[in-house]
Amino acid sequence: MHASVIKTLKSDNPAITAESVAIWASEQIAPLISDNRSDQVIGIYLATGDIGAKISITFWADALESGLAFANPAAFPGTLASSCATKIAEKLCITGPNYTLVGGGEASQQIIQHAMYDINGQQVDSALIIGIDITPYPALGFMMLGRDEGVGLLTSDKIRPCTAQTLASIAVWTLIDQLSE
Amino acid sequence: MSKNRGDNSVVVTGLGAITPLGHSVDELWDALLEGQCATQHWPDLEAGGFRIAHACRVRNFTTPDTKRGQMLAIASAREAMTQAALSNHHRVGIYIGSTMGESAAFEQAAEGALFELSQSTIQVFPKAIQQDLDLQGPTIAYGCACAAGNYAIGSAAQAIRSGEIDYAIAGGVEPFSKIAMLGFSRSRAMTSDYCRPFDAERSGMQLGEGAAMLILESEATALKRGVTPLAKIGPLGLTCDAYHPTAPRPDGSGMAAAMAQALATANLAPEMVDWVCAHGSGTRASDAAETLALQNTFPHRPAITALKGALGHALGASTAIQAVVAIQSLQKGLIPATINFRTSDSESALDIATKARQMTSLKRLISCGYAFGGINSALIMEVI
Repeated sequence: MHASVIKTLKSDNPAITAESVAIWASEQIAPLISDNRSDQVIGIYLATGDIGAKISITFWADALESGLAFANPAAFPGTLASSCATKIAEKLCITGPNYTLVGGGEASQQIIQHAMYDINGQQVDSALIIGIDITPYPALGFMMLGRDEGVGLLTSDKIRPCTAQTLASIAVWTLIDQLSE
Repeated sequence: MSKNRGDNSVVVTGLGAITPLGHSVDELWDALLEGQCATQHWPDLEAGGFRIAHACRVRNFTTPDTKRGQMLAIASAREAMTQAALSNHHRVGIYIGSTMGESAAFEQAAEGALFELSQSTIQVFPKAIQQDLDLQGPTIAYGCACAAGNYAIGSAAQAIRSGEIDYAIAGGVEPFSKIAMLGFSRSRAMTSDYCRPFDAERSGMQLGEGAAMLILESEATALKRGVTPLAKIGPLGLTCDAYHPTAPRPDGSGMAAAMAQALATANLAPEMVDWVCAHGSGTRASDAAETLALQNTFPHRPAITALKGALGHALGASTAIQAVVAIQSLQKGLIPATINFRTSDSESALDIATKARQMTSLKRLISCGYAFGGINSALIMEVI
């Protein structure tokens, strides 16, 4: 199994909707997705602590302020925890499994495990693993896993040799470390 | 792609459900066979300014608003654990799907109440079950919208096949949500009539709530414990339309691909599926796409039931409730009707079950669930 890239980012823009976060994330991730992938099945595996929840509060507060009859229907899909993963799929045309796990650090670890199951089980050719939170600022970590020769982990600043057994823990550590800054 | 989901037999040994048609699996099953519909007018919704005040809510189940989902999840998990004769001496993973979490907590936070995020998001549901039943093992929260129950059940089965865990509580829960009530209503997805899945005059969905849980373990473990397996969990097919935030691909190709993936993983021909427990939300677009997907995938016209006419749409719990009903059907050789269905679309060739139907030859079914954002899921279940 091979992790081709891992990258972490923060947005400077605190004014967000679920859609704007997903679009921002998609723009960051897009270079990672090969154009030549028509025969590839890619899955999205996203872990989050607060996608959906924060938007739900905003949606309801806005509705109370403006009146229920004037609530913005376009904002409603963002109340779902899955809204970011599905929007990224739409932006990047990724039609494989679309997972969203909700939780803290354990969700990041579990989502990588899900991706590894699906790669090892040949359900997908590669897995786009994403960690994303929106509080207080949108923060994003992502990497691709695929069935390649050799094992390695490329981070934004260094390359570390690793074994398949340690891949998940290193990746999780990096994601959590960066997201919690 | 090939095919590792489904190599080892994972069986169901316990069921639990709390729905608008009863507080147990037996009450739900009896009500479905009687053709009951849980739709009811709710004065509190009308007084609250909702344009539509009909919904399917769990009656006579009083809880603190911000704990309702947790209490629903716990009630159904307790029932399932009792049937499976599992105790807290066993290491049990808990896999739960939902769409939002404790929606009432978000509503109260928007009104200025104190709010603890980690006590209100979806992760709180498996942790509440774990704490209530004093269990040890992993807890995983699936936020895969209206397909979340299938995701949870399929992933739990995968974890058992891989040997990661020996037992799992897997299912879905959704407390009634005013946010969802408003959102679907403002999206013009909600009917002011009854929910009529696949009917020519269908006009939308109706919101529900509830929880349903399955106990999963390997067949070998179940036999060793001396408990009776109820059904086998087969492969789960998963795809994403990658098309639109709320609308499905009109040709149903994403839905059909999920069904085809499940069949391919199980090495099954389509005609080996006897019954489809369909998503059948009652909306124009989703039912039209699902009709095409079913017709293209299953030309032999298996019987089809959609439960949302009776129960409303319990969002993240809906596929788990379907799984419970499906396993009851496998056990009893009997399928429930699609409540409120009256007339087929002119272009539809589906065999909609309009009455409860004896199916003594029922061996295998597929249970489908789709969600906003184009998430598609199809789970195969079989007799032992």
